[in-house]
Amino acid sequence: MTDTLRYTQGLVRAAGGAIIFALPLLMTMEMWWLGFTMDRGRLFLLLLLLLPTLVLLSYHAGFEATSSWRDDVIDALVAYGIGFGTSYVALALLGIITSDTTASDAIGMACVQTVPASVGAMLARSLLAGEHADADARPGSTYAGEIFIMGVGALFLAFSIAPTEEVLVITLRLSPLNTILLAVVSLALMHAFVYAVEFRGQARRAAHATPGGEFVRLTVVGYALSLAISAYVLWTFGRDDGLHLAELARAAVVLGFPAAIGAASARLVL
Amino acid sequence: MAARARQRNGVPAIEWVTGGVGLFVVLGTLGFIGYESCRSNADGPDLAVEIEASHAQPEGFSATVIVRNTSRRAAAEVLIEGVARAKDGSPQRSEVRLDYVAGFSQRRATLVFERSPAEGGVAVRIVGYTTP
Repeated sequence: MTDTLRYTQGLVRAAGGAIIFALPLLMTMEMWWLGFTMDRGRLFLLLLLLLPTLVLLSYHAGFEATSSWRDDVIDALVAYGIGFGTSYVALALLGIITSDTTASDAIGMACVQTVPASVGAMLARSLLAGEHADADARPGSTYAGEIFIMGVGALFLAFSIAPTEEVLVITLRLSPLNTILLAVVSLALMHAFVYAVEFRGQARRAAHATPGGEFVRLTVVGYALSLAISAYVLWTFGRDDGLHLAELARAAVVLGFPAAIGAASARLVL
Repeated sequence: MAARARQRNGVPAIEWVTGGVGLFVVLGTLGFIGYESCRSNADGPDLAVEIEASHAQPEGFSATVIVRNTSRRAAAEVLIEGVARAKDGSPQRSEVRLDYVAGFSQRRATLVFERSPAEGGVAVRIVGYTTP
């Protein structure tokens, strides 16, 4: 197979990954609205942060095997472009973007969808081609790499759920005690995932790591990251508007539940 | 990797530092939620509404109201009513519903009237709410 053909195949696979990852959000009403109601500064910051995230993701689990940072940057830009293009076409196909939609609204709607779509495009190789990014062959199996992968998992799940009104509705219905219980359950589930990875023989230092040490090094750090990412995503979508800090913290714990599952399972999947 | 400071069990010190920061974030968040919940033990929401700004519109008049909840308990389906007296003395009613106002939080809504009010301005009140 020629290099061009192989690369084209990679691009098609990336578009497939973008569709799979973004489809639930492409068909979510609140996501369309965010396209024109979202604060433009926050949207700009989100897209700005997405680029280095994609570069690092390309390094760890990109849609083609890369050998240099330059390749990772190029692949990140390609995934970004595929994510945006796929979202725009899909939104037009679904009749969300029509000839009546202003350019600002159309671009805004496609930009919000670019986040999950470009992550999907980037992960297409490890998820669709059946070839896992070789964790041992890459420096990606470092501690920082594992934390990064957890962050991507948390971001993806938090991003998929945060646009809906339900996060705040659940937060308001939960008593503070139940919120704390939810946090404890999230931590316990995450730790179960940490062990599951070790059972698969992927953990780097299983030999000399103590259970308490693994809990603090991976589970607690992963959960703290999930909470921080949840709060950031809520802020990005303007869900913090008028909310007292304690209520925002509770909303972060509620959104942190799926984010923690996303973070922990990302270590298993990627 | 060899250059990194290591502890006895072979885990680099930086990982323990990260773990410590993570522990601080998690315990800090949960402690804060616990503290704020103890600060107020009100039975129900405590809502107050006031006009924040008003503007003349091409066709009519709008008043932005701000609803503050000073209790920990959230309120849902908050119905706000505004009455504006026109220059001829006839009252104009307008209402708006907020899905919810979280505890210790505030939300804004806008009431729209057909005509600008006279000197008396607009009177606003909360008609009712439910607790989620």
